[in-house]
Amino acid sequence: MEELNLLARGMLGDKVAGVDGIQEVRVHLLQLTSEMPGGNKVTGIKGSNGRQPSRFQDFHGVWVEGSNHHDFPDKDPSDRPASPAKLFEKKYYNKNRRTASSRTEAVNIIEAARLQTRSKICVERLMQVSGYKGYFFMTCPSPVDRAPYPHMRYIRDIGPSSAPYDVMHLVLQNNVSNLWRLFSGVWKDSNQAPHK
Amino acid sequence: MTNSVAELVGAEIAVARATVPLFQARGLRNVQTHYKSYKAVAWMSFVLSTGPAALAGRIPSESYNMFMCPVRACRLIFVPDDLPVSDVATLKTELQNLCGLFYKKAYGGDIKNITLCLSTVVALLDIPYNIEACGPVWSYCKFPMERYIGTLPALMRSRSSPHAALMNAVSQKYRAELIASHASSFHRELWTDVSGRDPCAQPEYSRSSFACPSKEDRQMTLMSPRKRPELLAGHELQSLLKVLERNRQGALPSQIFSKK
Repeated sequence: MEELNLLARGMLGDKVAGVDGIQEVRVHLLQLTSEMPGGNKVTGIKGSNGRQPSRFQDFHGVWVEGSNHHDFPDKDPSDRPASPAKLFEKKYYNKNRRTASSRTEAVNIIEAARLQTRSKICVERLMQVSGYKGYFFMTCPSPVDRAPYPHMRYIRDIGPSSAPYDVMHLVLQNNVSNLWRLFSGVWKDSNQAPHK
Repeated sequence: MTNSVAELVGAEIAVARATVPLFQARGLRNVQTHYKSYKAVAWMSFVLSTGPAALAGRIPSESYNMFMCPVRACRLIFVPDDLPVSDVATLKTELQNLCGLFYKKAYGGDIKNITLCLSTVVALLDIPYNIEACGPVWSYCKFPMERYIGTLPALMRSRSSPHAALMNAVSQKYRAELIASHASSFHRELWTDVSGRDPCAQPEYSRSSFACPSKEDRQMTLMSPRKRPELLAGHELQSLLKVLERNRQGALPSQIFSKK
């Protein structure tokens, strides 16, 4: 924090390309925050509609036929898991972290499928599996977008950490209010019956 | 919890409104009646202070243990300070316990019972990694932004063209702040003569400052009051004095202010 304040006050003695003489340079911390769906749009991640809702972890939810939802139980309830290595498991939640390089790798596969004019279903399936939509200007730009903005490399290299969750809405507005609903009997199960 | 008990809990919280602590930004409301319109600050107050007391003995012990997981977690998440590594480890454990218990209690361990498009309780597991990667939650939480959004409707003076009116009002407001900031920084004597205020007497942290708040100012900048502090009087003062008398650890202050 002291270092950030020092940088905000200004550092004298730097040379800037295209400007004569010694310059005073100030550094300011720019931070963008958004709610979860907005953050997913900014980062080009499928988010809650995808099979991998997490922005930080690479794991698969469990899809059960007949239900319209993904589930994240402690153990996979189905007999034939699609990808046992990456299935959600609370105990090993931090096993597969998403990084800038893993994101670039996954996005390149999706874009290659688009270039090869593969079927829409095929591209959609790749997006569902990886959790990414494709090239995205802010976080994972295409080589054409990348070339004119070399100084944005820092944000691209940070990876998913460049877009943290908005904890206020996630914890207080979602989960704590859900707990009250559960305790006060307002919580309904899938057939709209009160929770017992 | 039966309906009558839920109403009793809500009524108890509403009665405690008169004894709202100093840093509470919003008055307490009946949680049973207003839970749909509860603001984030009200839920924070519920989970940090009123909830554990109001629900004790009124819900089954298993449910109460589940509720205490987010209570302990929120005490670490919303602290306006740096979080030690040991606390992050505790936070991970608490959130994992909550996730497991919620799945068991709310969904009965069966996927068919899930009514949400996404089980948001799973996203809680990301919070410790958020903190490890991006720093303490107070540095990127949305309370200041929400408070700012709350100030915008008052600036919107025109109903026929609200967007243009808002844009004009916002640009005027920031132009005035910029002039005031420049004048108070570079023309102090002139500014003191015209405004009658000494800029040196103002606190170091201001809206136009680019510096990160210090530890002492952090709580103030995160939860800035909606109104100026006012002297407490009448029933509110009597109720607060009763509570202070009960939990007294030192001499009572000569003046008691309230911020809502």
